[in-house]
Amino acid sequence: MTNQKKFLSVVAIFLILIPFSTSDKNDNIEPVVLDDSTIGYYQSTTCKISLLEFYQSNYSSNIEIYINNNNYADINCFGKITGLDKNANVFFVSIGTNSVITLIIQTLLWTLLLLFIPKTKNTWKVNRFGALLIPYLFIFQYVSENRFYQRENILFDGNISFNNLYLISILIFLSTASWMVFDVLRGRLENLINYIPFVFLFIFTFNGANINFYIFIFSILGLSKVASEKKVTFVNVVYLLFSIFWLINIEENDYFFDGDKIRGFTNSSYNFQSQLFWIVIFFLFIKGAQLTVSVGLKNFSKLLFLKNLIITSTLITILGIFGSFFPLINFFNFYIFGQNKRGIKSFESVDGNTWRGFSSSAESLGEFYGFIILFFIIAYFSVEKSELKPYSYLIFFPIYGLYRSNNFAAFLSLLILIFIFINFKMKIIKFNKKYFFTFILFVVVLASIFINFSNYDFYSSNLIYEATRHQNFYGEVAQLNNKLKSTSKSHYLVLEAIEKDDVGTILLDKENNDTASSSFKLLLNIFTQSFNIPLIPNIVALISLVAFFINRSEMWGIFIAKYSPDTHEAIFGFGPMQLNKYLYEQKVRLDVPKNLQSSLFLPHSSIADTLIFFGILGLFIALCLIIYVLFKSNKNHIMFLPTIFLILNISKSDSLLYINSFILTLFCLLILDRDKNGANN
Amino acid sequence: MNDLIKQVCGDSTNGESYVNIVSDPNYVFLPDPSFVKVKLYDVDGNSVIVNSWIECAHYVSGGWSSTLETFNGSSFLIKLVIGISFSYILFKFILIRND
Repeated sequence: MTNQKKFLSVVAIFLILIPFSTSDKNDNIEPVVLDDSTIGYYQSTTCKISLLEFYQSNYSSNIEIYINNNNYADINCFGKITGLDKNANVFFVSIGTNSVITLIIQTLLWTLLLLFIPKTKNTWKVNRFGALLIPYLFIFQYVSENRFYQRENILFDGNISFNNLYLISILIFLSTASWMVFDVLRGRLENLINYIPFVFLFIFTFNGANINFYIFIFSILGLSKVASEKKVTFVNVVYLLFSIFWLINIEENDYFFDGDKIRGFTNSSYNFQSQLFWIVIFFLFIKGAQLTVSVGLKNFSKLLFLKNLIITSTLITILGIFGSFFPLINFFNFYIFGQNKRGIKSFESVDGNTWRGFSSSAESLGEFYGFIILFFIIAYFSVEKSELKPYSYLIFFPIYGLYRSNNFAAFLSLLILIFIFINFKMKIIKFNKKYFFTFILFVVVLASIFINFSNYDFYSSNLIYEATRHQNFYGEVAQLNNKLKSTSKSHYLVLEAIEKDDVGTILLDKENNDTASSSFKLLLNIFTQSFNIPLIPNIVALISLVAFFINRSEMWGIFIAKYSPDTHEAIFGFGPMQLNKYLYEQKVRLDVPKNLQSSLFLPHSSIADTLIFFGILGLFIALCLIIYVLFKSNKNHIMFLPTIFLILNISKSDSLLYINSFILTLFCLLILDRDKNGANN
Repeated sequence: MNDLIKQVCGDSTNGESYVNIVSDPNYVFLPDPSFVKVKLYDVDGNSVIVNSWIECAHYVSGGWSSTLETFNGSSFLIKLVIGISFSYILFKFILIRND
């Protein structure tokens, strides 16, 4: 480690620890050993005892502690105990983490981290346009998403006025921060591409804010790119037309989404201003990513990329395990890495299967681990073995992580792609027309056998059944004699209708017809159409079949029950990162256990997510672009199979909603698109 | 806790010791003529004058103190960010001069 890096590390440690260790030493208030008798003491000395003082007095105590972050507390309470309570033998200690002070500390800390990226010889020569304007855009977000921010800070004031010190302070700080980020990136932009794997370790979501540091960085770069562009592209014009629709289509509402596990990368409100913010920021974000790839492609190093992938997976696994055992590490993992949700508290049973904290979903982290393993195997055949040796031992961590993530689809698709790759390299089976037609024949025969000898009727209708189960049907019907042991009255009627092969009768009831989501009605119409083309499966039946075998029937059924766009929304979508209308407009009655009824039910498919945001037209364009990129790309490129792996997996998960998975997928596609010659094989 | 009560309310005037009386809604604090009245403040700046040692101890145990903390978060914040911004400008200026 160079002296500069040592110095930066010391500064970073101070930046993290000092705010959590300072307190007034003259007030004679000292931390005491925590037990039942001293709870009152801590409750009556709030904002006086720092976290580290408290921990020093209690780390050897045999008590279970959980450290909560209290973003709402005032600045003078930052890093200090703001409350303490006991529940079921666990002492919950609240620590003041005022969201603006957090914004300042996290921005400084993460900008320091960017300094660890080695400089390149060339300095990026683009104007500071982005750095000048972006802070105003983010201030606009504070005002437009005021419902989110007023819950997060006692000082919040959303009025635009020269007397509003709160917003002025944030504007001054963000202006300085954007200047700093710009200065730091100028000499490092060409190298940034190699450090993309770290997005899974450093999630960079600001605590107490609905924004992410990556969005901040890439929007600065994006605005600079837009300012230097001389022509308007076709995609830009299409996006503008979509934007106009998204903005004029907004109606009065009181929807509010707190972000939950996708905080920082979702619109919390559904109003004109917030919609405008996310439309602009999403566009700039993509532009920033494009700039990073086009500037950095000549410096892209697969070995460095692989090294960073493996380091990331190793640290995620180790820090995740430490965080589950030690409350202080758990707290600082959340704070330092900008996690969306707190890491798991224990290592036992189901908890142990997830790495929530470093990733909002175990599924998306499983995909990341699978990506690393595939990348490693492909790299094994294309780089010097001696260069790979230091990382060969560490490949254990992604293998272990994939196993613990319980992501069977990722595991299976990984095996298939490894087989394809090894077969391609070793030429075990030579693919020719004969093999191809034999394979097609095999699939047709297998499908016929399956349809004739399996419970095809059930598999093909299961999706419609699941969607029906979660609709608010028969709301006024009295409780029935539940012969089929169904969990709700509507469930029984639905089962009965399915048994009679007459699901459509449910919609003959006017109330049911009004209650049903538009997507449900459409799919039911397609499913029950009168004409039948021989050998061509019904599209809904086919989706239902696929959903059953990848264990998505219930989740996609819930999606169909909830997704109720009008015609225009179905074509153009609700807008980028806009989930409010999907989540709250359509009244459903989820047939799930009571404790799960208030959970966040996301569509569990990035295709469905894209459909919500960009509609059928947007989805069609996105799919065409992806197919075009994959079709035109160099099939020998090291990114080719890992990108296919990602796309296959995200189609059955919500990974596109998580910023780290989104960035990785986006960068893979952009690299494949820009690097057609495969210079970096 | 006892040290804190002693610091704010002084020594118990009648040899009383503090007991938790939160659970008794009908408890009435009787004024103690020998007790020097103390003004206490909560975190929101509300004030109360207590007339007995036990009343004082009760309020202190509930988080009230004898000093009014007038912390202005917004004012602190703007000074902090101006300080950070000037420091960065100064740092850049020094860096440019050294180059």
